[in-house]
Amino acid sequence: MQMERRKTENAPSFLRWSANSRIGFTHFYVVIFLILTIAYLAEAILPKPDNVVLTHYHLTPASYHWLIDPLATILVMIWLVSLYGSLRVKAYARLIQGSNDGNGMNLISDGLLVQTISLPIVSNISYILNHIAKNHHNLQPSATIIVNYISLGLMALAFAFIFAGGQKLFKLIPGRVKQLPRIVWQGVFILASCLYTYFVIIQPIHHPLDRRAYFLPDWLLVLTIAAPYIFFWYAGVNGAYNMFLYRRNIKGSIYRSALSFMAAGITVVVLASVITRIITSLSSRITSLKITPILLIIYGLLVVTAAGYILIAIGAKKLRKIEEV
Amino acid sequence: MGSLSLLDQILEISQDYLGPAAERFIDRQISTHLKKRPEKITRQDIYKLIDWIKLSFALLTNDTDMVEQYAKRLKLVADGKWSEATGKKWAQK
Repeated sequence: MQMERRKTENAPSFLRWSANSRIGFTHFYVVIFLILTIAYLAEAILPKPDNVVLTHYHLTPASYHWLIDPLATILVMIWLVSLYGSLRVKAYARLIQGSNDGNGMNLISDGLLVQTISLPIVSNISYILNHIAKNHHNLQPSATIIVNYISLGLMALAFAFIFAGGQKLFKLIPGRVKQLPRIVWQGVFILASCLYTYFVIIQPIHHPLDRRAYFLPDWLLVLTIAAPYIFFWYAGVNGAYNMFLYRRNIKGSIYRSALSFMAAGITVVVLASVITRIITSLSSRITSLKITPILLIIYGLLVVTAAGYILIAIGAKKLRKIEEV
Repeated sequence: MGSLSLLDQILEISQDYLGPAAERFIDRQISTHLKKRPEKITRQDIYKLIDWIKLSFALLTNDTDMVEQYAKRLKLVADGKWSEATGKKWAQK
């Protein structure tokens, strides 16, 4: 923050406004994030549990809250860790903005910020719309469709930024980079995408809880949900891979060492996001499982995501130190 | 390599350790400790700068050998021995 002020105190007024507006934007972002997070916590903990859910999982209201309240609290803590990691990267990116690597880092940090705030946004919108749909059953399809598209849109924006940032960093690598590993994982990705599309379309409905995940005809589902998800997952994974290559091939032993944490963290966050979405897409299969495996899957993904953001924060701190000594 | 300016020689060596951050690091060291523009640096300035760079660099790594190596290479640049300051023997992992 001091370096940013030093840079701009003698600058023309429009640059000072720009710097202050960036600081103001960060404050605004954090405030909105905290409001959404508190709202989500209230939505998760305060209301009475659904009787259908209690019956399906053989729970009492008390046992339901014993399970859900800690999960909601841990989820909020994960979100706060994500916020911390994203803001750390943004602060570092601001420090080096205008430089070759700064442009790429700035885009990646924007992607992480979008990814971070998408979590409480989608959770809140989903709660509100599903709450409305509970009292107006004819609105359930609309509610589901809106939530799905908002979730897709935010993920697409986040991964588009990460892809663009990864591309900028990749272009800084001196010399040629072997393409065979990229070809191999792209082939695996294509295969996985075919499987994903198949499982998205075949969603068996056996129980009231197996509510349709999409309420869309198959052709529209493939065209506007499955295909965009696959495209932007590819963009996100490609962005993370480009960052990995950048870290591996760029000069500077100390710089690379610091960057390795951030590169690893971004890879973990991107992959965890993709896997979470895949599991959500297979929701009807998961609801046929007992509650324990479901919670284990959810907890596992949350821990992995948090670990990713912690790595990102550590990497950003180490990189920032290079700029401050 | 003989056509490289003094600043470029310093940056070339610094990039082996600090990569894209090297230019910002060196610019900062020169502006802060020598109070002059980086492109105006002279060989005498490098001798004065080495100790400051060593101090700052030591905050970034526990590897004292690396710190000494970096300082040694900068001294070679200051002595006008550019070809000795570069080369595979100084290659970083």
